[in-house]
Formats: sequence, structure tokens, C-alpha cells
Amino acid sequence: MTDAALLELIGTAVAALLTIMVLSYALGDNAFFRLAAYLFIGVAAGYAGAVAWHDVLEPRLVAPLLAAGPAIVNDSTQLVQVVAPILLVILLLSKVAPTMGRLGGLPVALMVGVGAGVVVGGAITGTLVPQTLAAMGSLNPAGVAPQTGETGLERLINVLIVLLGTVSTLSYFRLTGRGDQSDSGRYGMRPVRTPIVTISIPWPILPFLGEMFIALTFGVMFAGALSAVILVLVERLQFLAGAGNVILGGLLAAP
Amino acid sequence: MAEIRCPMCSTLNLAEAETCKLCGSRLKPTGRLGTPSEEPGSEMRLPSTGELPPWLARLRKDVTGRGNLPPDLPSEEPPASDSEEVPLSTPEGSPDWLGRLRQAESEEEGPPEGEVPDWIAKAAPASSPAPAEGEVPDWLARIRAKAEAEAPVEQPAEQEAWPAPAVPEEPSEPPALSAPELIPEPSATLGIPDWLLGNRPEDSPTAPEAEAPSEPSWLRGADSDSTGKLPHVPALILDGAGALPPVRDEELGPISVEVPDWMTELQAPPTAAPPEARSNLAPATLPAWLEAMRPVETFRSVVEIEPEEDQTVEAAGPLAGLRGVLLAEPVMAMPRMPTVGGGRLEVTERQFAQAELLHRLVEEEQREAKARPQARARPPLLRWLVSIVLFVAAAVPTFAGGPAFPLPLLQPRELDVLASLVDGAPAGQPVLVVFDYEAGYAGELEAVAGPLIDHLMNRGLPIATLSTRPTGPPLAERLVAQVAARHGAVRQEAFLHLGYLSGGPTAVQLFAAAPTEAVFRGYLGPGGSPWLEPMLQRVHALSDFGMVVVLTTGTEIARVWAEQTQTWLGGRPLVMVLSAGAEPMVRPYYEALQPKVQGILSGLPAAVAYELRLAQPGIAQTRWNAFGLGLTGVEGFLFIGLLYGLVAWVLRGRGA
Repeated sequence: MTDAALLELIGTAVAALLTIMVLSYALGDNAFFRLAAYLFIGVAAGYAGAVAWHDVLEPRLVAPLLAAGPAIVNDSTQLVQVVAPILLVILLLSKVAPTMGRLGGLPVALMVGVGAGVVVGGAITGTLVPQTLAAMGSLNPAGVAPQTGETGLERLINVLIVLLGTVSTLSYFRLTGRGDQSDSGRYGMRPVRTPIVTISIPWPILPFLGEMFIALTFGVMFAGALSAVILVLVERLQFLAGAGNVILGGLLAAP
Repeated sequence: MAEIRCPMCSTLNLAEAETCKLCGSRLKPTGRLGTPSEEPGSEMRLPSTGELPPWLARLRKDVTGRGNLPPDLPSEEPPASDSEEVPLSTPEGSPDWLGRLRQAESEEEGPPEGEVPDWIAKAAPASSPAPAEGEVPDWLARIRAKAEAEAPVEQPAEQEAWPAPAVPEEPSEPPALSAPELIPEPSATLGIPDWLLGNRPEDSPTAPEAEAPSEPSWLRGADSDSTGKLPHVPALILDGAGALPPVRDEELGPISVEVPDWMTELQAPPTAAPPEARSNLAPATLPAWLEAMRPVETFRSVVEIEPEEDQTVEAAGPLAGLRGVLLAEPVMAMPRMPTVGGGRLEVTERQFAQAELLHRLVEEEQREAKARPQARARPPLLRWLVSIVLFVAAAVPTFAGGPAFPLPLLQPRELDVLASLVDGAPAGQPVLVVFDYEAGYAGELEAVAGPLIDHLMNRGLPIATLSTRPTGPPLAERLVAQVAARHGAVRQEAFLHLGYLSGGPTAVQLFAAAPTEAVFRGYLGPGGSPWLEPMLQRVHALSDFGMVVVLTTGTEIARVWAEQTQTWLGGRPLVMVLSAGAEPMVRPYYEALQPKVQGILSGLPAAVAYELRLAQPGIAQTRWNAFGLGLTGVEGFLFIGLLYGLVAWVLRGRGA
């Protein structure tokens, strides 16, 4: 067995062992699960630090600084791209010292301000306006989004459902109410006479429908999350099965 | 032989000695309080015990060590002359020691005979009673005569009262220090002011009543108000019934001497106030807050007056040699009840209940808690049941190979759109695939994104991976390398990894604007800039990629890529490969009339359908049976839970 095969075998065995330790949480909280969780957290933190150095700090700050040397002060481009970030890093590190913590406010303010500006601007142009316009979609059956593959009638029905869901959900989140309202219940039953029979419906009906839409949305999201974790569980069990084969095969092939 | 004790060192000296033989202190006082009746040069002579006040007699006894002395002592020394046998107690009542003081004063301060100034001689009245010739100087006689002429009117009464101390219990005070109207009872005030004595209970036999006019107006008003509304609370708590104990006069003699004149003048008149006047006086009333601060027990000295024979003789200090001196040490060192803060509070029922509660709490804290038998933890049977069902459902198809679920015959509508996008991607232009998910979701997204990667490689489109998470590049390598191995693709030619893009949304926008300036170093590459690789040499902007595919499990990341890259996509499609839980939140970007997301792929059924469409069985189909059986188990639990809820609802309705 070559070293690469041996390392592969050891890695597979360790991964299988850690998988079993994590799955042991099904029996309850135990030391094996905690050990695996702490190990993952530590490894992830260490790996993130290594990536930050390897992909960010070393190629963007240290390497240009060492390459340029003292002449970097004569290069305006390098001053902006290398020296200024280094100064900001030093200021940010000053937050460690209590007496110099205020100096770290400058890079923090810079990061927060730039990040907020980017996110808010993108949200307005990419989400708020387009989604608001989509909620006010036309009832014209001809206005069908081609990528959905809908027909005109399906589009009309979908737009009506979206309209009803939007209005009812907004009515559910009404923020006004009478002071004399008791906590006897949010909805009451009101008989509604139909041509065939009289039925009782919850009243007010619009917030009730909004609550139903919200419950349906959460149900769909929960079902999706449940299917995702089932798929993950299947993948882990298949890995264990493959790892068992690899380990047994490796042990049998070892002599 | 008469002896005198030195007041400083208590050494016995001869009576004639002027100074102490041991310490040299002066034995005879130099000052005098002269009275007109005294004559200079009179010798001290101890009067009889009956003539002296009891306290003075006891003091003399302690000093001399002899008890009842004959009235004509000292017997050892015959009187020098008749004129010198002036008793210590003069007819005016002044003791002999006072007379000797006057004598000494006259001896020292009197001018020599014949040297009297003329103005003094003229001031002397001619009609002044002349004492014995040769004994009193003329100048002194004239002064005495003038003093007698200017004496107050009541002085004769005083002189009449003092010469005959018939009752031994009555204190005999020097006339200059006692008020004319003073009676023995007022001496029992012990120095207490009359305003305080006015609050003494009425049954006190010796309590003097203060005169009404002596009270200030504001105090009278307060008394009148308090008598009607407030309860009468005596300001002093005395022994027993609250009355001052009867005090013997001989015990109060020396104390009464210390009462200043202004206080004796303010004291009650010698005769007790009539009952009518006494009843008009308002008793002292303490406020409620002051009554609440009253000490529980008024401090009382436990020093008992021992018999005279048992009393110890003071051995040091100015009182050395005296018997019956009050000792300060026992009083100072005596434990006593605190007089401040140790009051008797008026507690309401509520306060009492709260105090009881606090007391119980404190007792509970001090009580040793019994070791509660540790309740046996109930085994999580339901959790175990669910786990077993899911494990078995997921493991049986994997390990046993069955049961087999039919593959989906229908494919989602968005799959056709996605496939058409891939098919319509420009050949030769690389496709950017963003791996923005955590390692925990690799099992799902690898199965979902596998067919898409297959499709891209089937078309020969170069793939460049990127991630905004540090763990993204290894996940990209894991999936792409696995798919590339099936297609025989070569790293850095068919696919490469741009690596980690740090900075979050800001970095996404920066990458969209200028990809080559946002990524410096690739992942698992030969080193250097990845943009120098042949497959990326023509890429200078985001629109140079033929397609952008984002693999993510979170709606926030999908929204960031949809928002930040729209400006720089240049009409290139943006495809989202999502986890099943994130799809409902991203789908509106896809179904809009002006979609921000042009293709979407989510869920294992769509992935299986994609593989079927590609006719390339992959990861999705290998997990289909286990996934189906696991979902069946979950649906079974949901059905059981729904049934349980319905039954419970019906039972509650019947119970109500």
C-alpha cells in the first residue's frame, strides 16, 4: 500500500468515525458528539485563518510591500493599494488596546459604511422595486413570464393568488386595534348564507386568510428543509457504507 | 494631735502645717469667702457631727478616720483664745472651712494697718457695727458695714434659716450657692432641667411642677394640642411606676451644690403646686417616631451603694483617701443595651408578616438542604423512535438495495429553461460557478448541482469556481473534480478554482465590476494569477463569462448575487442552484416579468429529472431510493401527528 493510499484510508476512517460521533447525537447529548463538534469548530477556524493569510493578507499586503521595498513610498498606486490598507489594519488592531481603541473606529466605520451602502443600494434596485412591481402584476393574461412556462389562465390565477395573499397577509399584520378588545380570540365564526347551505366562516376573513398564507409559506419552507436534511442523511449513510468497504478492502489488501 | 491630710498625696500632716511634708503642697487654702461675722485669725475647729451636713460629716470621717467627734474638738489643742473658738458652722450657716478661707483671704489681701487709703476710710460708714477692737481693721470694718447696709432684704431670712439645721436630713449648703427658696425636694432633680421634670408622671411624689409662665408659648400650644389627640407618652422612663425614687438628702447634698444658680432659680417654688395648677399642665408627649426609637430598656446603673464600712477607699488621684467614691471603671466597661437604634418599633401586621417571611427565608437558607433523590431521566423514547425510523429508511436502500422507487416521469418546468440556458451558452466562454454553501449541505447540493456540472462539461464549457466562504474552494474541488474525472477533463484547462473572495457583499460587487482586480490567487493552481490561465485570458469582466451559476443554501447569499451582479452581467444568465428550503424565497426573482434569476434548480427530484434528461445516471439517482424511503417515513410521522392532533381536538371538544 502506497503512502497516498494509506493516507486516503486513514482519512476515510477518521471521517467515518467523526460522522458516527456526530450521528450519536440521536441518542442524546454525549461526549462523542461534543468532541466532534469542538473539533469541527477548531478546524474550521484554523482553516479560515490559513485561507485569510494565503488568499488575502500575503498576496495583497505582504508580498507587494516586500517586493516594492522602500520605493513604495514613491509609487502612488502602491501607496493607495498597499500602504493605506496596512495603516487601516494597524488602526483596526489598535482596538485590542483599551487606551487606543478609539483609533480602530475609523476602519470599522469605513467597513460598515461601505457595506451598508452596497447592500442598501442593491436591495433597492434588485429587490424592493422589482418585487413590488411583481406584486402589482397585471391581470392581462398576455403578460406571462416566458421562463415560467405558464399559460394565460395560469398566469391570471397565479396573479390573483398573489394579490389575495399579499393583501391578506398585510391585513394580518395590522398594527391597530381597539382598546376594549378582549383576548377572547382573534377570529369569530360568522354564518354566511349560500344558495345551497349556510356555512360558518372565520371573521374577519381577510386576516384569517393572511394567517393561512403565512402558515402555508412556513410549511413549504419546512418541507424543503426537511427534504434537504433527509438527503444529507442519506449521503452520510452512503459515505459510511463506502467507507466501510474502503476500510475493509484496505485492511484486507494490507498484507 | 490634730492632723490634716494632704489633698494631693494623702499624707497626714500636722494641723498647723502650712505645706505638706512630703509633696510640699499647700495644705491650707489661700482664698476665703468672707462674711462680716468672721474674724481674722480664727482657727479651724471641727464642729459636731450634728452641726454638719451628713455628706460633709461622712467626708470628714473618711478623711480623719474618726467617727463622731465631740463638738469641741480638737481636744488636744486648747483654744488659743475665746475669740478663736468660732465654730465651723457660723450662725449664718457657713461651714468652718469656708470661714478659714475667708480668714486666709483677709490675711493675704488686707492692707496693713495704717495704710488704708483715705477714700476707703471715708467710705466706711460711721454707724457700722464694730467688731471686737484690735481684731478687725478699720478698713475692713467699714467695708463690712457697707456690705451689710447694701445686703438684700431677704438676707435676714436666709440667715434665720441657716443657723438652726435642726433636721439632719436637710442639706446644708453654703448660703452663697443655694437659692433662698430652695427646699430639700428640689434637690432630687439630679441636675435635670425643669422642662424635663415637667414630664414626670403625676404620681411622682417628689417631682416639682414647673410654673406655667415659664413655658414658652409654642410649647404650651403643642401641649394643648397633644393632650387632646396624641396619647400621653412620658418623656422619661423611670424605675417601676415611672416615678423618681425617693432620694435621701444626704446623698444629694454634694450634687445639689453643683446645681448652678440659674437652674435653682428656675426650679419650682418651695411649696408644691396646688393640684389645680398641676392638672392644668399638659404632660409631655413624645412624637410617634420618637416613641418608636425609645430604647427597650432604659439603662440603669447596677452599681449598688454598699454599706459605708464595705466601701473601698480611693487610693489614687485627687479623691485619694476618700471612701465611697463612685468607680468609673465598672460603669464604663459595663455591657449595656444600645441606646441608639435599639428601639421598640411599632410594627404593623403587614410588616410583621413580611418580617416573618424574611425570617423563614433566612432559616431556609441556613437549613441544610436535603439531597433530593435525583429523578431518573426518562429515556427519550420518541427521539429514539424517530431516529431509528429515519436511519432504517435511509440505510435499507443503501445497504440492502431496496425498495426501489420509480424515477420521476415529469420534470419541472424550470428544468427546460435551465437546460436551454446551458445549451445556449457561448462555446469557449467559461462559466463561473459560485460555491457558497457550508460543508454540511454538501450532501444535498452536490446531488442537485451534479447534473448541471455534467451538462456544462458535456458541452465543453470551461468552469471557473469561486466562493465567498473559506470552505468553498475545497467543496468546489470535491464536486468538480469528481465530475471532471468522469469526463476526462483536465485541471486548469477545463476547470480551475479562483479561490476565496473575501469581503461579503462588497466583494461580490467588486468582483462583478472588475473580476481580475478582486481575485489575485487561485486555489490548487500552479501559483500566480489565475487570470493568466488560457481558459481565462479573455475574461476581463463579469459579462465575459458565458453564465454565472450560484450554488447556495441561503436566501441572503442568493439575494446578494442577484442584486449586486445585475448591472455587470450584460445579459448573461444568472442561475441559482438552491437547497430545497431556500427555493420558496428565491423563486420570486425567477418568476418575475423582468427576472433577476434566469434559471433555477432545486431539490433532488429536479436533479434526478436532469440526469434523466441528460441520460447520465449520477449522484442524484443513487440517492433516490433512500431519499424516497426517508421521505415516506417523515410523511408517516406527519400523518401520525395529524391523527393525534385530530383525536386530541375531538376529545377536548367532548370534555368541554
